[in-house]
Amino acid sequence: MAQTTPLQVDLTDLNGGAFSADKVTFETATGPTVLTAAPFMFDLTAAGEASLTIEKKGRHTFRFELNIAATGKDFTVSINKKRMLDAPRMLTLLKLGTVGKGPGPGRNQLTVRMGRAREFLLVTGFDYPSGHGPGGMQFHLLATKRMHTLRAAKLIDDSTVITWFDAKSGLRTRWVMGRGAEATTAPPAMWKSGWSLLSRDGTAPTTLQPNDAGYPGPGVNGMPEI
Amino acid sequence: MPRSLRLMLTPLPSNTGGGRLLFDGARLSFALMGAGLSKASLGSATAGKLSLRMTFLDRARAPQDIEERALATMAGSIVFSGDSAAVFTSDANGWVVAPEADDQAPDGATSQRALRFELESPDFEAAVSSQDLVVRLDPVRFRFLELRTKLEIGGSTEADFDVNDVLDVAITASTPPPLGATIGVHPPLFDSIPPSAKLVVTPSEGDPITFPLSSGIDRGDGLLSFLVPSPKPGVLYTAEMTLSPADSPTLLFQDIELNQLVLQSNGASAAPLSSLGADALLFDSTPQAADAEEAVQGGPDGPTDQQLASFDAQAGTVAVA
Repeated sequence: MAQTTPLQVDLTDLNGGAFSADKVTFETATGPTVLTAAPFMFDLTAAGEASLTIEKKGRHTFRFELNIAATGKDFTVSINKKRMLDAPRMLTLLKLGTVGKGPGPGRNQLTVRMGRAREFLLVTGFDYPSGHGPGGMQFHLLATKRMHTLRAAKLIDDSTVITWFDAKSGLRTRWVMGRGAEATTAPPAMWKSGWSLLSRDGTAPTTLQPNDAGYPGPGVNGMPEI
Repeated sequence: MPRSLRLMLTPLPSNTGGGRLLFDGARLSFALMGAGLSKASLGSATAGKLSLRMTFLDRARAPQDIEERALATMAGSIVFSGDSAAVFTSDANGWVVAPEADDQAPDGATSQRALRFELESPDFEAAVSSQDLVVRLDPVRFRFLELRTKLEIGGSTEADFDVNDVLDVAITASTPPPLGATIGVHPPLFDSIPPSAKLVVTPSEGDPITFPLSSGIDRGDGLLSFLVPSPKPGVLYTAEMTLSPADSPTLLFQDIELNQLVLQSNGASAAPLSSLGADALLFDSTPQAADAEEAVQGGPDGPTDQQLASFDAQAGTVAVA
């Protein structure tokens, strides 16, 4: 049985200096633990999914999805790639431990690097098939291309949020740069690595076919769901 | 039905990155022997005891130099929960190292190594399911270690050392691992770490220690771990990782007293360590080819290269606050 294992969360600015937060919430299946001042130390007591939410007035709220695994005598934290797709570059996760020195657990150290509050907004439309044309333009590729450009040109930092409204899926997604090499995939996932998904909300469209009720009509690249 | 119990040892690979398969521990479980009559009862717990004994050999076949010592014992109780299922519940002490493991070690046995022992569930119920036991050995004199187990139930020997499995451990410079602190790095989720990657740990006293990627250990916890041997009290360590020769090093942590981990592992409270101040481990971002299904998703027409270039040129003019 794995022992209670500490998770220490350090918040820094981009230069490694201390960064203060109003509230840091670590939530597991047993409930949330809320701390409002450093040190942000949490106990890992059970395996399963968890989340870490960092809030500060005037800043973006960041929620990171984590996994806790029982690994022998203690617990190990990792990024929940099923939910986040890739590990955010703004997080550095280490596990420090010992070999043979004693029966106690190791410790997980998570550093979160916060830059200035910045956000880029992307909106992609839906090219309906209609009398105006066959439709089918893949507007989402413009957005993934734009995200790549921002990244490659170093116009954004690790904590810059990309908020993307996609008309076709009706979803709002929020992204930060991931650690892996960029690899796109089919909508609505858009990315399979290179970008980390912070959140996904909105309502998927219910009317996508010209014969369906509520179809916006020919010649309209609308985004009524947004 | 005649039945008795014996112990099985499933080897745990050391995963030290080399081509040779080495082991540095074992997972214990029970197996039934068809013959004999067990002292364990169905539904009624009986006192039980496990013993570990180690034999050091200078060579695997026809050894000329042999040394034997007890390693550890575990006390508890055992019960049959069904016709073929036995559950051993250890007492709160878990494995207790035998005094002779240290006392009878010869002068040359100065190398302290760790052997991992995991207790299979549901065969075992214990406060700690995985425990490292420290072994003192002479790596110059001996190249192999055989580990044997004994099971006693109700004060009688249920399965002696010659009946249960034997764990064969090759003794190398890195196996079983020397005592020390481990730095576990999360490998990227999708990319492989370049073979040229290295970790450099710089102590506040002494020379930097360079760990090539091949010295990373996969201990089955999803991490790539590097072992810093015997961190000393009061010495601060800084760790930097470089992924490829062209990259500048990435700071993983700075001025951490790794010996604090040793104290914590021995029961000290987990006080906050100084801030890691870490940089992210960065990987080059090169868009890869789109999935096959992406090309047909949403219609036949994607933006042309010219359209993308035009869009890119316009988008690049956006002012950044």
